[in-house]
Amino acid sequence: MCNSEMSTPPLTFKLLATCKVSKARTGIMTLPHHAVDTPVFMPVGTQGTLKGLLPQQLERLDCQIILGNTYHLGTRPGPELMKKVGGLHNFMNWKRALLTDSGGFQMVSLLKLAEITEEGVKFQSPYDKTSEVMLSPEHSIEIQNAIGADIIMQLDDVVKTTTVGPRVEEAMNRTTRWLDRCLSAHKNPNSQNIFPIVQGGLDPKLRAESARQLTKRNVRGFAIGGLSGGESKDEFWKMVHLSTDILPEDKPRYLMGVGFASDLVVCCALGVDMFDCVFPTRTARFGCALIATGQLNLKQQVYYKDYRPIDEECSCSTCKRYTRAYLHSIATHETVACHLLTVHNIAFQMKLMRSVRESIKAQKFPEFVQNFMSVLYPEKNYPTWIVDALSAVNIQLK
Amino acid sequence: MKFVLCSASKCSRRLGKIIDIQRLPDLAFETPLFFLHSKGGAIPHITHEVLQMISGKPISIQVPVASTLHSEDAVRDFKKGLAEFIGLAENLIYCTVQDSAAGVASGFNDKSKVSVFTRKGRRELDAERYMNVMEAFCPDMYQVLHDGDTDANSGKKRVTKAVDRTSRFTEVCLQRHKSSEVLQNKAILGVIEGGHNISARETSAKEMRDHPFAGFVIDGLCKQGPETENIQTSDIKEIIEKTLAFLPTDKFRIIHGCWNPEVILDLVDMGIDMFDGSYPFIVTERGAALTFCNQIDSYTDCHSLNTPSKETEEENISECSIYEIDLNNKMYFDDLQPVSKTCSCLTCKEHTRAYIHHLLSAKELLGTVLLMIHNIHHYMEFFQTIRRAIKDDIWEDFHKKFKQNLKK
Repeated sequence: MCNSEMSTPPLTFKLLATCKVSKARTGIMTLPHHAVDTPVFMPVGTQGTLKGLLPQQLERLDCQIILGNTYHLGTRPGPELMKKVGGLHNFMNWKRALLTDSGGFQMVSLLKLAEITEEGVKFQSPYDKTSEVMLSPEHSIEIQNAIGADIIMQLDDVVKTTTVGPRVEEAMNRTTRWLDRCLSAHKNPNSQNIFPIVQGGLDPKLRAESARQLTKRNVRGFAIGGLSGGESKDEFWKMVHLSTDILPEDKPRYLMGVGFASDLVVCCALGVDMFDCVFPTRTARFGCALIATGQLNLKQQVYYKDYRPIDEECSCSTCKRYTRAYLHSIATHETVACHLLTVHNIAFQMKLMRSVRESIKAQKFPEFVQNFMSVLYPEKNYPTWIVDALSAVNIQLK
Repeated sequence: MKFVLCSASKCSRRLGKIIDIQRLPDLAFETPLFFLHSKGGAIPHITHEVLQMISGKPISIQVPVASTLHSEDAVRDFKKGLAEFIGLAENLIYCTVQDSAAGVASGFNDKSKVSVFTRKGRRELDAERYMNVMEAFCPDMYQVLHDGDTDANSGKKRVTKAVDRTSRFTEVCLQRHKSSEVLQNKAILGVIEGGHNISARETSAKEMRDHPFAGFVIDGLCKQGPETENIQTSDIKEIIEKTLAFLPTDKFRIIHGCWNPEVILDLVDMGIDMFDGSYPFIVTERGAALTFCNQIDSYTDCHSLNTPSKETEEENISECSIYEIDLNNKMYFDDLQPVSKTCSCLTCKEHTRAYIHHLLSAKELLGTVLLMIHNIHHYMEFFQTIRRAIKDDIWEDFHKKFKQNLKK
C-alpha cells in the first residue's frame, strides 16, 4: 500500500469493520493533523474557538476534529491574518484535525439579500451596507486555503429543502460545476482535502444524479448537504439512504448539520461516517444537558435540590464534581455554567459515537441500536421514520 | 482556625500564616494573601477543571452572600456546606456579606437590616436571618453582619449609625456563633466601621477588639465596586493607620475592594494581611490583561511590555494602562506575542495577543477565560512576590522600586 516514492495523501480512509446487518461501518480517517475514528461527531467552533473551552479540554474530551466557519473567519479575523499565523491550527493552538465549511450556507442563511448567479453568491457586505461582495468558488477555496483545515468544503448552491421545481435541478448541476472550479482553484492539494456536496433537494432522481456526477471527480470524501433544513424526517432519511447507496464504500461520507442523538444513530446505520451540529453546544448555553433519555433543562425549579450529577454514569469533569442543584443555581447566569454543560454535552456526543464504533467492531451494532432506542423511548412509541429507516437497513425495533 | 505571625515586625508589613482550619486541617495559607473572587459560588469564567490548570494547590476564595443567597435552601438541605455545594471543597471558603466587585448600593440599610442585591433583586437581612444563612453555608470563615454603607464623604451621623448598627448585629452574630454546633469551630471576623471618622473608628475598634474574633475586616472606607481602583493611598492612609492602632496586632486584618497594585503594596506596608480578588476580575471584565511588574528582579522586562509596539491612539491610553494592556485595542490584531513573554501561565504559554483580541471582538467566551487565567496567575505571583520580599527582608527596596517604576 505504502509507496515511499509518493507523499502520503492528505486523507486515507481505512475501514476496520462493517456491520453485517446494516450499512454501518467504522474506520480510521487519517488526516494531516489527526487520525480520526469514524463514525465521528465534529463539534462546531464557529469563530476559531469552541464555546469557551480550551484546546486542552477538547483533547481530554476526545474531540478529534472540529469545525470552523469560513464565512465568520473570512470576515474576522480574515484570510490575511490566517496566512500570517500559518492557519487556524496555529491561531487557536489546536493540534488535531479541522474542517471548514465553504461559507455559502451562512451567506444564504444569514444574509437576506444574497443573490446566487453562475459566478457565485453575491451579497451585501455585513460591514459596509452599500457595497456588494461576491463569494465565488475560487474565493471560498482561497479563504479556506488560508485557514488551512484538513478538510475543506466546496462552495455549493444551496436551496431551501422545501424548494421544488427547476431551481433544484439548476442548483444540483451548478454545484457540480462549482466543484470543478473549486478543485482547479485549490492551492494545497497535498495538505487539504476538498469534499464535494451531494445536492438535489428531496428529489430522489436529482440526488442520485448529483451523487453520480460528484463521484466521477477525483476526491477523497463526500458530504451530503441540503438536508436537516426543515424537511420531514421521512424525506430526510430516504435522501441519506439513497446517497450512501451511491457514494463509494471506500471513502468517508459526511452528513452536514446533523447532531441529535437519535439522528446520529439512525444515520450511522445508513452508512454515514461524519456529522457536525451546533446543537450540543448551543443547548448548553440555554442550560440544557444531554442524557440518554433526552435532555435536562437545568433552569427548571425541579433541580433546585437535586443533588445528583447530570448523569451518574458519565465520567466527564462536570459530572464528577457538580450537582444538578448547583448547575441549576448558575445556569444561564454564570458563564461557568455554560462551560460545564458544554463539557458534559460534548462528552455525551463523544461517548455515543464511541459506543457506536465499538458495537460495530463487535458486530453488535443492531443490538446497540435497539437498546439505545428503547432507553430513549421507554414506552416503545418509536417515531415511524426511525422504525422505517432502521428497517430499510434490516434493523427491527421490537 | 489560627493565625500565626511569622515576621518580627508586628505593626508594619507582616508575614503570617493561617493554620488549623477545622475542615482542612492539613492546609496552611501564608499571608499577605488574597481571596479569589467568586460570583454565584463560581470563580468567574473558570471551572474547577480550568482552575487546576492555574494552580494545583488549594486556594482561598471569597464567596459573597449577595450572589449566593438564592441557593440558601438548596445548600441547607444538601447538608454538606457551601464549599462542597459549589464544587470547591478543597479550598478555604470565606463568606462576605457584600460583593466587593459589584459595590454597595447606598441608602438601603436600616437599624435592623442590611440590604444585599441578589440577582432576584434587593433582599434584606437581619442578623438572625444572616446567621441562618451562615449555618446553612457553614463557611470556613465569615464576617459578622455589618453596615458598610459609608465612604470619605459620609457625615458623622451616618458613620455613627454604621458603627452602632454593626455593633448590635455583632452581638447577635456572636451569640448565634457560640451556640451553633456547626459554626462554633469556624472563624468569625469582626468588622470595623466608622467611615473616615477617627473617633467613630476608635469606638468601633474598641467594641470589637476584645471579642473572640479570628481577625478583623476594616470596612466602610469606600462603597467598593470598580471605582475603588482610582482611590489613592493618601486618601485612606491616615484613617487606616489610626484604626490599626486600636486593634490587637496578633489578629489578621482584611481590607476588601479592587485597590490598584500600588495601593495594595502600601496597605501591606501598613500591616494589612488579606485582600480580595476583585481587581483581576474587574480587569478581565474590561478585556485587559495585567502586565505590571509582579517580580522582584525584572522591572525592565516588565515595563517594556507596556510600551506600545505601534502608534497608539491617544484616547486608548487609559489611566490604568500602567498596570495592564487593553486587548480590545486594534493594535493587537496581528500581534503574535504572548500577553507577557515572562509569564508562565497557560494563556501566555499557549496563546497570542492576536487570538485574545479576536476572541474579544467576536464576543467569544474563551477570550475572558484566557484573560482570567492570566490575570489570576499574575495576581497570585504578585502576592507571592510580596511575601518573598518580606521574607527575604528586601521589602523596603522592592516597595520603593515598584513606585519608581510606575512613574517612569
